[in-house]
Amino acid sequence: MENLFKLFDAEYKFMCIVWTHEPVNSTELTRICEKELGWKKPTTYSMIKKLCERGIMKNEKATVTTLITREDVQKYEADVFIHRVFDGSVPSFIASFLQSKTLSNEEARSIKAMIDGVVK
Amino acid sequence: MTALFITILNMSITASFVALAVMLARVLLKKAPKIFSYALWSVVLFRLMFPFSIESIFSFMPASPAAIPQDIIYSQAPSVQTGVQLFDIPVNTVINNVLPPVNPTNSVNPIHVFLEVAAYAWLAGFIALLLYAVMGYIGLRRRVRYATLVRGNIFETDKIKTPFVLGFIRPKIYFPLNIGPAQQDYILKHEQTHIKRRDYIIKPFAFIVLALHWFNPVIWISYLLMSKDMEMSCDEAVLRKTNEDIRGDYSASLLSLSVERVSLLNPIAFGESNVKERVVNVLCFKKTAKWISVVSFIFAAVFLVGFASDTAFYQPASEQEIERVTERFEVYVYELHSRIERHADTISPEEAAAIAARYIWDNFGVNIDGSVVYMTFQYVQARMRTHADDDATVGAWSFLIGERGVLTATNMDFTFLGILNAATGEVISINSAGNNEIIATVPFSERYTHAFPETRQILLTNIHGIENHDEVFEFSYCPQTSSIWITNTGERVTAPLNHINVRCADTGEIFHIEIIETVNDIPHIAFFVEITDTGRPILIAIDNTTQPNIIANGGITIGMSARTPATVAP
Repeated sequence: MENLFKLFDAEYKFMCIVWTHEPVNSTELTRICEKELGWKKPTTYSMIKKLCERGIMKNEKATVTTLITREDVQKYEADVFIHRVFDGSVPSFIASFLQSKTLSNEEARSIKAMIDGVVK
Repeated sequence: MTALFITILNMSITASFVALAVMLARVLLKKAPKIFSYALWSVVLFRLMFPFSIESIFSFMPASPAAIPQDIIYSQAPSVQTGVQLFDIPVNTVINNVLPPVNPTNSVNPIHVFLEVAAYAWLAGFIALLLYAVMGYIGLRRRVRYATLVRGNIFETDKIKTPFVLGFIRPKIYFPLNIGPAQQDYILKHEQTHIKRRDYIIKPFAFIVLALHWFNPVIWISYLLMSKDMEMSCDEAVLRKTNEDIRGDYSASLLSLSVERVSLLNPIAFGESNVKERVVNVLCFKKTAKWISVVSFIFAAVFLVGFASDTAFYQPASEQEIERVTERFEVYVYELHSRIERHADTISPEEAAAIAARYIWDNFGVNIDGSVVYMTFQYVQARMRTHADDDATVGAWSFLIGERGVLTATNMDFTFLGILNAATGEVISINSAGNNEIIATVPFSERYTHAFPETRQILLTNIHGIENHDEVFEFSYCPQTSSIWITNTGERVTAPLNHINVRCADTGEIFHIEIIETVNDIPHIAFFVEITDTGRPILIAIDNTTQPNIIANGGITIGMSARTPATVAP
């Protein structure tokens, strides 16, 4: 289920709200969405239904919880991006990223630690 | 349905002339702010929606608002009369060549059939376009369903390519994602100008009107040009409101957000397909000098008034009009005869009508020389030989065009229709139920005298009037006939039924004749003409059949006349 994490803009914004508030009562959720996204009640409910059908969230006893994490989505999007723009090559991605940036020592150390962590 | 369709056709023709005028005026207004070009389209919209307009002497309209008469379906020689020869002559040639010639023995006229079929095709096209528009709207609605609020009435979504305004009551502005804040600023101004001008209502409304006139390419072009003017005037409004020069940036936004035209009924989208022209317009934008705006404003105002009103109808009748009236007369006699025949037992009304139609056609339609349009209608006395009683004297109607005419007589037990030769007083029987025969021994002039023994009064009444008195003329107004001719001393006036005016020869005053009765939704008029001792008729309109009001007094003669006015002889 690769496309489980493929979210449209509206879906992503909605998920962000749920991630922040979960577990959240669905009525409460419609209230938040009305304020944050300008959605009417039926719009929120049909979005919940749509995402439940995709297995991304569940709605039990009027309580909405997510089944995927924000990190899952971010990772998926990053993969897609690197794959599409840099032919899946992480080094060329990082090279391009570093070209226009300067890193503080702190940042450089933490990135280095990350890289060490994934090296087999 | 056919009647509605003819009304639509008439509006379409009138509006096309106005639309062509607007297209010309747009060229003149090229340097002026586009808002003026945009405003001009309102008069086309008006013409497309209303079959009537105000009459004024201050009118530029070259065309008649009723080019296609409602009675065309009964016409022996159907024709269209806009008053613009350039249009009429080719159109009428086509009508005459394409349609099979009228065969009077057929119960229906080819143009009648043609118009009926066309009316349904028109309705189908209209419904199809409406459905298309509704589906398009629903589709768009669905697409922006999950658009998320940015602020106020602005929403964004990744499902659209160009910003647009959607909604009727509380319109919302929809943005695609990833539009830079600088772009956002003036796109927003553009869309807000649309909202302020109610363009989000005007455009769908204009589309509905377009759908009504879908068969007319001029209206399609008008719709596209109007959309263009709408957008360009909005572009200009944004540029005018912004102090710094954003022409370059603005054009770039137009380009980057331009879309292929995917739907005829675009919402008022920012990047519509006529982007090229809009970019040119934006790049050439200069704040307009005040005097250009003032001149343009005056020009547009004069234009709007001039094309919203119709030319007042006092104008000499053309040969075609004369022919048209002659035709209507034939229709009338045809109708009359079939009514008479309904009472006959020996012949079916259809047969009688067909026979009458053929004779009337032969005797009036074909042989009429264009110049002979003099018609008189009189109630006369005719001596008749009936199978029951020799030499009965009966009242009969005579209708004359020139020397020729039709004589119809009816009684409780017989009906008669004959062709009358006014010069000789001879009557040839066309059809006579009950073996009756007119003995044409009384010279016509003598009969003429008999017709006016004492009171010398003519009653014109609607077809359902049953006034039938020797001393009173009765004229039945054909329901399909939508105009009547009233002449005074050689000046002709012809007008649709709801526009009948009579000009008094003595004082020059103009009187309006009220439509006083409606039968089956068809307006009828009734009025008296009384002949005074001096031999001059007085026209009396009656607002009901019992209470006459004198509304005009003077040298008015009733009838039709090309060169010599018809006189009602005492």
